[in-house]
Amino acid sequence: MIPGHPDGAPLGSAPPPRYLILTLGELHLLLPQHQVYALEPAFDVAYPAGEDLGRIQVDGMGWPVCCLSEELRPVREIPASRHVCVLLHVNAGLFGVLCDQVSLADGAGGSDVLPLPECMRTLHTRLRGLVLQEEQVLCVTSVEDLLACASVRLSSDGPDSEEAVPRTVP
Amino acid sequence: MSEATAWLLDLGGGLHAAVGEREMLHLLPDPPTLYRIPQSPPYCCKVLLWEGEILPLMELARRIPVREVVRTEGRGLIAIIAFQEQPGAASRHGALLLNAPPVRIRVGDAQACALPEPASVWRRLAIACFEQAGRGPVPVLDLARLFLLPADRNA
Repeated sequence: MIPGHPDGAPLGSAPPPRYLILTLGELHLLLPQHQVYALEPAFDVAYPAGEDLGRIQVDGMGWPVCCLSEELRPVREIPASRHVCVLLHVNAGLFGVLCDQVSLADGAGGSDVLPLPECMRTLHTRLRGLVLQEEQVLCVTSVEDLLACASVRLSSDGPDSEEAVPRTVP
Repeated sequence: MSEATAWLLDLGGGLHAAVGEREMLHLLPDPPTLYRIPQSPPYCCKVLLWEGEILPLMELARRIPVREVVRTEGRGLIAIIAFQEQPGAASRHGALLLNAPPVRIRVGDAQACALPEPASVWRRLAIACFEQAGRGPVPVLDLARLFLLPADRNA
């Protein structure tokens, strides 16, 4: 035990990053926990008529919410299993993704990431690799990747901001 | 005239190909759990776990646009294959979906022939081809190219 440090870890050593598992049907995404702002119930998401995206109010600001399929394509018809809205934060604000459930990844981390097999990579691939955890294959992703999959430009509908606009991924 | 031993593979949909004797490692006795990977090409969109490795499963019959393919999903056999990126390199592994157990055959130089149609597709997947009695031209798979080239560069 190092005096003054409750865990006995060397002073100055950063704790290993923690990861969350986002479940979308049969798909399990692995995302750094620090990229998640909050979890909200999916029934708090509103769906304005004529818009592709849902909206959720957080601290008086509205943010876009997207539903992704197991192929990571945006879908308008929301599966009944999507119970959780995961609010992800990026520099520009917040972005919500609907998930079936969210859990803490035990032990899985950046050092365990295996590259996606070469023959599975395409120009549209937004996965950063695969992790094997307890006989489960997890797909490593990030906020930026999910944002690109959802094809949205981030914005809030707060007093000084523009609407969220669907965007085409190059 | 030299001869070699190879494995004749039934890929489904009437398609056949061959791999070298030592490239075929194992035939899975039971259907493994398959994990679908999003945004991957339709002929290689699932992985499986084998001896602690995550292996891509290649469904070659989905890659050959020449005839109506009889889907073997859920009832096909899975073969584990080995290949090297270059001579002397460590072995890499992958999985191939088959329609029937592989058959061991002998192949001689005299059987060499042109690739079947669509030759432009087979040219990206095969390193050679031989004539097999009763089956016609049988391409010999270039497993390293098949599994190590990104899908967009090998489409």
